[in-house]
Amino acid sequence: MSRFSNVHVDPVVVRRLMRGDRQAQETVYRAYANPVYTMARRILRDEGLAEEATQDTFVDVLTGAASLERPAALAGWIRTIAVNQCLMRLRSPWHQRRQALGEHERATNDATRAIDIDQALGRLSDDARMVVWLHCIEGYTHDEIGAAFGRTASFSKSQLARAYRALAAQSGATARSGQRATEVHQDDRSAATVAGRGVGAACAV
Amino acid sequence: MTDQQRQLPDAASARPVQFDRAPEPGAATIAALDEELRALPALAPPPHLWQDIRARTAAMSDRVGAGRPRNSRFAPLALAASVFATAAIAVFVVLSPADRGAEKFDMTALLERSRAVEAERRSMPALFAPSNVERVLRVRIGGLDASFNEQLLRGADPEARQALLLERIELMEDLKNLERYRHSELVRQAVF
Repeated sequence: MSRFSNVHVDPVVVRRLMRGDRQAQETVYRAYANPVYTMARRILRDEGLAEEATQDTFVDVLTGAASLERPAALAGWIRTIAVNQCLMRLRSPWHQRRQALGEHERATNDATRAIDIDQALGRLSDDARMVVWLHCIEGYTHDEIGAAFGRTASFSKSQLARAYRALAAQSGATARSGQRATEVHQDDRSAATVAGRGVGAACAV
Repeated sequence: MTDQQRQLPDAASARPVQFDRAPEPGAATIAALDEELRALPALAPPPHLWQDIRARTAAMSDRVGAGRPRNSRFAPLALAASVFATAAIAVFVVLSPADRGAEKFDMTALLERSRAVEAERRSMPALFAPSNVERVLRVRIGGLDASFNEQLLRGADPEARQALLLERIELMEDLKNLERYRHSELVRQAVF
């Protein structure tokens, strides 16, 4: 999986980016294009919207790089811009209307059959999908997610718990996890202990 | 476009399903889901995207550079006005130290205020094609968020964090007002 934290860009290149160097701009784009696009595509579930969000993110990055205070903050900064771009599109009335239409058209779909995790992710509500992604893949804390949504940490926790229930029910992970359960117990991480810390704890990065 | 990308169901075909009645997944299930999510492959943007971004940024810098030539007749006047404004601000700041000292902010209240402004902004319908000013404001807010998170991790002094938060609130207010104005303009155009 392509994550922002896995990308490393030389601080010298970042300083050149801040000065508007074209070569550095392309280097930074090549380094972060996959994480940004992957996040947008998985969250927005639409190729066109994901391209648009990626494009807007990098236009903001290239035009605003001079305002970056420290080169080390680049990854977090790009990620914040990308998250805001995704949130903005999820909040758009056009997107919500489109989703409502899709829901109506596919009301006869069989939602109970086992599907892969990506499809299961796509069937979550927009907010739940975003929370799952930010928490499990990008390592956001519940406080950070709450702040991104303009809500509290409890909102993030409840969304994540509901999302896990839905994902487990849809993806058939429950059945597959039977095999892994033995390993988990052998590591002294009993299900009860981990569940006691809340579902988010098992996934915290 | 890869086969993997083609197979992704889009938002229109995705049906949010209520699973509130499903049993609480155990730790092993959560760990398995977590593992599966992280194993999802990375997706690459289409190759033309970089050219599009480059073209957009070039067009933006051209617009900025192609502004009206400045009228040198007014340059001394503008300089005098800015010197006067700077001096006035300096006098105001120096003469009111008591007020500034008394201005102690509660961090929790500031965070609440920041969240409230953000929630208010998000409650408005989202607008596409933001103006340059909106774009700059968003970039600046993103930068402040990154700095704020970094300071939290480093345990930097609360005054610096307060300053960042205050700036964030001000910028967010500006952004909200701009978006509200643009939205009302759009509504006005649609109605008339």
